[in-house]
Amino acid sequence: MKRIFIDTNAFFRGRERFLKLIEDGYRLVTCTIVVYEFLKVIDELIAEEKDPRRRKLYIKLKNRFPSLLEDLDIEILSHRISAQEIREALMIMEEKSVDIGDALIYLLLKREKIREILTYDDDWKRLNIEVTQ
Amino acid sequence: MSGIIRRKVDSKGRVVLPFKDVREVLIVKSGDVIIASPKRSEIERILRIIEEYNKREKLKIAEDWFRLVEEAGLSEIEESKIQEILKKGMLREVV
Repeated sequence: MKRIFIDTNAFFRGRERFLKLIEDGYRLVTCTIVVYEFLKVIDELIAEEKDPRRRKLYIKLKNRFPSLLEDLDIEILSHRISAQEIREALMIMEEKSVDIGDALIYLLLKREKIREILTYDDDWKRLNIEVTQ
Repeated sequence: MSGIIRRKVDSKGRVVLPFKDVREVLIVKSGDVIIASPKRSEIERILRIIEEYNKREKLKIAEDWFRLVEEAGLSEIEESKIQEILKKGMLREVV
C-alpha cells in the first residue's frame, strides 16, 4: 500500500485531493510536528476569535481532530532524532531555505521511505520529494 | 446462509472451526473481527466488501471534516497565514 504524508495545511484545504487519496487506497501518514502545528493554529484562532459561533466551530475542530486521525487510520510518526540529524536538518534549512519543522519532517520521511507529500506549502517543491496538491 | 456461531477458545488461543475435511483456511482480519473460509474466492469477496465499506466510511468521515473546516471559514487558509499564526503563538510563549 502506497504511503503519503499529510502536511498541516492539508487538514484545512484541498478536500477533493484528500478524498481522492482515500478513494485510491493510500495509507495516510502524518507526524507529531504536524499534530502540534494543527492544534497550535486552532488554539491561537480560538484565543483570538471574538465571534462566539465561529469560536465554537474552532473548538469543535480541535476536539474532533484526534478521532479524525483514528477514524481515517492515519499513522502518526514520532520524531526521535540524534544530534547528527539536527546537524543535517540545519544544513537542509540553509541549502533549501525551509524552516526547521519542514527539515525535520523531510529527514523523517527519508528514514521512513515515504516519497510523496500532500501539502500546499511551496517550500516542499525545493526538496527531493513528490508534492501532491 | 450466514449467522453467528459461538465457540470456546482454549488457553493457547485455539478455536475449533465449524468446517469438516478442511486442512487449511484463509482468514480476513479487520480490527477485532476475523472471518475464515477454506475457499479463496469467498474470502476475497468478503475482503472486497469490507474494504469497500471501510473506504466509504472513511470518505464520509473526511467529507464531514472538510464540511466543518469550511463552516469555520478555514478551507482556503494559506500556508503563510498558518506560519504567521504559529510564529505569533510561539513568540507569545517565549516572551
